[in-house]
Amino acid sequence: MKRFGTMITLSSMLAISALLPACSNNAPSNEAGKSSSASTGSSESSATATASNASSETASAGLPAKFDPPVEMSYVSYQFATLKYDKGDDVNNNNWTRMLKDEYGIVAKNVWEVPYAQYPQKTDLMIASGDIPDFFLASPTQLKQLYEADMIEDLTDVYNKYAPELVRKVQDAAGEYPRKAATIDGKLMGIPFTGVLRESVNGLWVRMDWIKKLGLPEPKTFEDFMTIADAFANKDPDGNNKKDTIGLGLDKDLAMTAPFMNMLHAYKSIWTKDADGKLVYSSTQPAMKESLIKLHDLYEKGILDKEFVVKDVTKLFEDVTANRVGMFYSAGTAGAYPLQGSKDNDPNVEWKMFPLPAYDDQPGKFQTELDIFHGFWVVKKGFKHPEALLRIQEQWLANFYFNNSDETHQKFVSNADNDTIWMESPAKLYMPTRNRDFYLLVNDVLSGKADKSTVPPGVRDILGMIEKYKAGDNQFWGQNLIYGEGGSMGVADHYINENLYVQNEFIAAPLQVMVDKGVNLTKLELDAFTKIITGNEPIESFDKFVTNWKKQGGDDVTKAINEWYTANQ
Amino acid sequence: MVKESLGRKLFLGFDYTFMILLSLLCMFPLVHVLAVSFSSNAASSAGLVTLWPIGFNLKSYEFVMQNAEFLRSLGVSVQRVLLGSLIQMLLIVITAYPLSMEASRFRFRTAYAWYFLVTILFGGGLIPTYMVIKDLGMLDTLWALIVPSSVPVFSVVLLLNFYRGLPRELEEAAFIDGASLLRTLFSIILPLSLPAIATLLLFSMVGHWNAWFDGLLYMNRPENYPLQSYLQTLIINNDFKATTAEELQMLKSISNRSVKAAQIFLGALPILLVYPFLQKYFMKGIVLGSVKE
Repeated sequence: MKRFGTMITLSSMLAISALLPACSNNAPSNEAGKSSSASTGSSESSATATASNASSETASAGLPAKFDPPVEMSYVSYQFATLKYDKGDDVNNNNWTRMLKDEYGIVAKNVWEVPYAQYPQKTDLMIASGDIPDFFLASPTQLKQLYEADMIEDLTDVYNKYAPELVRKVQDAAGEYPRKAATIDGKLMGIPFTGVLRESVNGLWVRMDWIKKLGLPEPKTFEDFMTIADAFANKDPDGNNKKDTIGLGLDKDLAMTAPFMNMLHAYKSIWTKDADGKLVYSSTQPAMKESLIKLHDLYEKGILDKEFVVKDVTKLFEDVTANRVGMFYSAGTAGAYPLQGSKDNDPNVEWKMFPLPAYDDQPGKFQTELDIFHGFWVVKKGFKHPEALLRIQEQWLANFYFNNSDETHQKFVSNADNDTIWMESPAKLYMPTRNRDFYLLVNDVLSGKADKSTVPPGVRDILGMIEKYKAGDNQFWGQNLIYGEGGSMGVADHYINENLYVQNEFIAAPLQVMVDKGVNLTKLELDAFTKIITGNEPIESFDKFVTNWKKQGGDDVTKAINEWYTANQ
Repeated sequence: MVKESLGRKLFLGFDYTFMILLSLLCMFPLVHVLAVSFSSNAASSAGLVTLWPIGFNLKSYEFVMQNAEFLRSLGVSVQRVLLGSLIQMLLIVITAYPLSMEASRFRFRTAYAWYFLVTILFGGGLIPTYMVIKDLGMLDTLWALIVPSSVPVFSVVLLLNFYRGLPRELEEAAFIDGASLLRTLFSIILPLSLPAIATLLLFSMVGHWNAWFDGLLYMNRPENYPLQSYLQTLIINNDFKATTAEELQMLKSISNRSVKAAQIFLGALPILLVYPFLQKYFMKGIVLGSVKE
């Protein structure tokens, strides 16, 4: 009897921890119950709504002016660390959501919101658990997964029928590639989040105060470039009698070698069309050998940092900030980071961005990837009003880009108290040439061609900063470097106007064979190139690399990619 | 006083130098972060600061002290450590006691022991675990951080071995005086095992304080992040290849290294302060826990 009692006590003690997950569920279970009943509710109503919709929509083509009764759309999103809400506002109740609800009958309900770096993993988990919101931003790989699992809506007809003019305008400005990438088996499965890659060309940033000090020419041709690089490294431009300056900054992943190669008409790690219209891997082409010879030459002459093989981009930017670097390749936005830091450390520093110096009579073209930001906006399969997403995007464009009113700008983009309001919009699209457009407008005003009152509020903000810089406030030096006279966006403007780009023709999510072999091939390439640049291997080993690359899977990848290319023309 | 031989002196000399170097090596990162946090941002983002601040100022700390996110996530972490450790300790204590008994006194002991041990060897995997937490409705609540780790089996095994090392006679005496099992556990066994408990408490607190991944995984809003998850989002490098004018403005404020360093240092401080108080039990506890009769 006593033994039995003991067992009961002991077992029940254990039971508490053994069965713990079951017990601890009490309080939150209500919530779970609520949400599951809510979701069944919405799927029921969606079934009825599709039926009633079919009749009403044939009557009036185009987006309904206002959804009545209001449509509730769940979504997930990312945010940037600085996001803050006005007092009393939150993610589901702010200027953007109120406007969408009151004027268009769209109730955007955020399920979760995480910092951008967490977004890919969090969405992966969400997709794996099979419970996706009504719309969200999916990466190319996720788009493919979602399509194959039949979880998302075909948007072909929705886009053709409903897409508002502003959305079409931006999508068309982004070119054909993003739309192509969002199309699977002839069906548009997502609205591309158009990016700003083309205006983010990695031009050549040069220390102008050193140029002046050493009496050097501006980098117009490749010879100029070599003269400058050599002088910056070996003629003691900072005047401290030590050889501690770097002629051309490079990172250990060789990401910054791409613009150098582009200058010599070679392209790094992209798929380009050859004479027969087939796709070939650019890193294995003969032009690549030439640029590796030149890079090795730079290394031999002490122009490259001898320690570049251990420095990533962040480390390189530290050197830039510490004013040890004479030239490096980076996007126009480098004016704000890291170059502003360089100015902060030494007010005498001057930087300027140049186009690629000419190697021969052909201008250099920048290699460019599929121009999307993160991915595609997708709509859950069976959602009754996929067109509501287009309305949100249209409103984003109307208030963020195509707006001349100060009041709207302060309400939806930024004001003195809060410069992060724009982040609260549930869906966004980037205007592919906005910074360039801003640059043009800023310079129209500066040169007196346009009046300040006629330009959009965002441009006026920048003009204000440039005025402050001109009045002696170096805090806004970086902004002037980007948008001001001779600013970096002027270089971008040149490339956009002349369309000097070489597009990576492979724009789909990685194919299976690339997933299997890609990591190894990338490593092979990086190792081979690094060794050739640093002279650990003679330049002849480039041919060995090409053979190895083909043998270790490169041929399989080329074959698969060409099959994909033929199938998707 | 015995005169030490030359060999002994040499050995000690080498030993001390080596140990001092080793501890300096451990101190280095912390001192570096501290130095960066006191430096001006221009110097720290140029990578000029090593062990002594350049352009000494307290601006970073001023900024952090007014930073609502930092303080909020600090609050979440404190709640998590207090509640999480309390629950863990309670469950460890009452789980280890039955399992410490021989099979003759508690018939299914072996079965129960295996039930727990399996969880050391096999985990559910990331996605299934996430789905369980989600379906239990714990997403975005403090419970998602506390409940999954509430029975650390490794700690249970440590305490179980400690219980076994205690003299059986004490327990028998308590029974003869009419104490129930629960009474025996809480009035006799528990006070005797305080050193072990202190050790496990430290494990538990440090574990909860330092955990960041579950916060990122189970929390739907950054407002609910514990401190370490918040710090993680702060220090990883954002990829800002494609930026708009608005993001540029933001970038300037994010790339402030001194502020980051200040937050990292303040994030490590509370748990550093706990250590000295529990340290003495820490060593003693481990030794005692492993001794068997």
